[in-house]
Amino acid sequence: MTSPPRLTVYRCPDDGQLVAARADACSTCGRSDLEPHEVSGDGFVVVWTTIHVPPTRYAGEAPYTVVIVELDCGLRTMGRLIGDSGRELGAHVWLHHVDTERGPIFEPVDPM
Amino acid sequence: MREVSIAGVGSTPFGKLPDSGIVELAADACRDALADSGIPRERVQALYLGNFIGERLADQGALAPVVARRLGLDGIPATKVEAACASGGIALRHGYLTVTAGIHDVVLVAGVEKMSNIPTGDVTAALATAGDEWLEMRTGLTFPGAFAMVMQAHMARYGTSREQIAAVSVKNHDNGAANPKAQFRKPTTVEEVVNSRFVAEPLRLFDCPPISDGAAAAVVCTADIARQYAARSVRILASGQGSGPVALSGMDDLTSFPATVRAATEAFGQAGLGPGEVDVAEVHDCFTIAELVATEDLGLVPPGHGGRAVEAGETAVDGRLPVNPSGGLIAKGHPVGASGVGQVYDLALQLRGEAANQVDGARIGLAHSMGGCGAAATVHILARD
Ligand SMILES: [Zn+2]
Repeated sequence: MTSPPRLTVYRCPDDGQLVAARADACSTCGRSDLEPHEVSGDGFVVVWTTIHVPPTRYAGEAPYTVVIVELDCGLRTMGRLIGDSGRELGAHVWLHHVDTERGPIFEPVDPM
Repeated sequence: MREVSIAGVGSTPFGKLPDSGIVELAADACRDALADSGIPRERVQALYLGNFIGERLADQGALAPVVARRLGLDGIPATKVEAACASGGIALRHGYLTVTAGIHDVVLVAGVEKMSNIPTGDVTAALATAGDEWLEMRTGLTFPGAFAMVMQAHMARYGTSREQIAAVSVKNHDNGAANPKAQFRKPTTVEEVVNSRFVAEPLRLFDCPPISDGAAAAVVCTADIARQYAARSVRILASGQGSGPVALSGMDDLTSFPATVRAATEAFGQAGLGPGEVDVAEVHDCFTIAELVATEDLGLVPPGHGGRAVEAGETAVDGRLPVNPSGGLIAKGHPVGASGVGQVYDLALQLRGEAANQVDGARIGLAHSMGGCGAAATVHILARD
C-alpha cells in the first residue's frame, strides 16, 4: 500500500505551534501570519457520528460518518470517514484526500 | 448597582403554530408579560429581543424595531441579540445590565423563533451556522452530530450508560405532559427512546428537541418599580456569561463546556450562593446529553455523575434538585431564540408558586442557556421577591 497523502495545517514561524486553520492566530503567542505546513495524515478516531438527518446541501449523501481525528502531530481535525470499520474510538485512520467542499476525507487503515 | 426584578412574564405556547408569524409571536408574548407586570406600556424604555435565525427562516431582519412598533413602542431603542441558542439568555442579561447600571428603569426582554414551516434539512442547515463552517460544518456535521460526539466522549470517559442518557428524555417528557405551554404532552419510556430512529448515531430522535415556534417575554425593572406595580415579582440576583471554542476539534475535553463553567462561576460569585442552594433549575437540554453535561458544569452534581443523578431521580420534580420541571427544551419545545427567555418564564412561575410542576418551597432558581456546542452560555440566578 502506498503512503497516504499529507494534510496542510498552519505553523507559527516563531515557536512552531501548529493550528488547523490559517484564520486562527497562534494559540501560544497570538501571531497571525502563519505559514502552511504539511503533516502526516495518520491519526486515530477521537469520536465519530453517523449522520442520518443531513443538511440540505448533502441531502443525497446520508448516512455518512464524520470523525474527529487526532493526528500524529497532536492536532485534532474533523473530517468524513469512508466505510464502517473505523467507527470505533481509537481506530487508526489516515487521510484519503481533501475534498474542496467537504474538507478532509479519512479512511480506516487495514479495513476488514 | 441597583436591585433588579422581573415584574411580569409572558409566553406563547411552544409548538407548531401555523397561524402566527414571527412578529405576532413576539408581540403576543410581550403583551402577556406587560399585562402580568401591571406596568403601563409607556414606561418601557428599551427592548432586547433574542432571535437566532429569523432572517433565514422567517425572512425578517431588523426584528427588534419591527416588534417594538407592533407593540406601539415606537422610538425606544430596540436591539436584537444573537448568539445562536443562547440569544434569549443574553437578551435577558442586557436587560438586567442596563437596569442594574441605572441606564433604564423598565426594559422589555423577549425571545422568539419561527421554525416549524420550514423543511427539516433547511432548519438543520440554519442551526449548523452556529458551528465553525470551514473547520467543521462543511464536512456535513450537524448539531445533533456534534452532541452525538459529546455523548460518546461522556460514555467513554465516565461509563455513562445509554439508559441513563435516555432517562433525561423520560423525565423531561413526564414534566412536559403536565405543562400547558409544552409541545410534547405525552410521557415516553426508556425503551421508546433507545429504539427511536437515529438522527446522528448514537443519538436518536427522542434525544432531541422538536422543531418549534414560540416566544417568551419578561419585564425587567428596578425592584422599587416592581414593588409599586406587580402583584408577584421575582428578583434577579445574578447574571453570568461566558464563551468557549466554536469548533469541537478545539476542545481539550469534549465532556465539559468552559462557557457554562465561566458563566456559572460569575453568577454564583455575584449572588454569594453555591450550587447546593439552588432549589430548581432550568438548563439547556438541547439534547439529552447536554442536560447531563450542564448539571455537571453548573456544579449541581460532581463531574461524571450526571447520568447517575438522573437515573436515581435526583433531578425529578420531587427529587433533591429538580432540573427542567417545565419539560425542558426536549419536551417543552425549542424555538431557539426564545428558549432562554422561556426558561425564565417557567422559573418565575416556580418562584411565585404558580408552576405546572410546582417544586415545593422553591426560593432560588437557576436558568442556564447555551449557544452552539459551547460557543456561548449564560447563567441567571433568580429569587423569590
Ligand atoms: Zn506562536
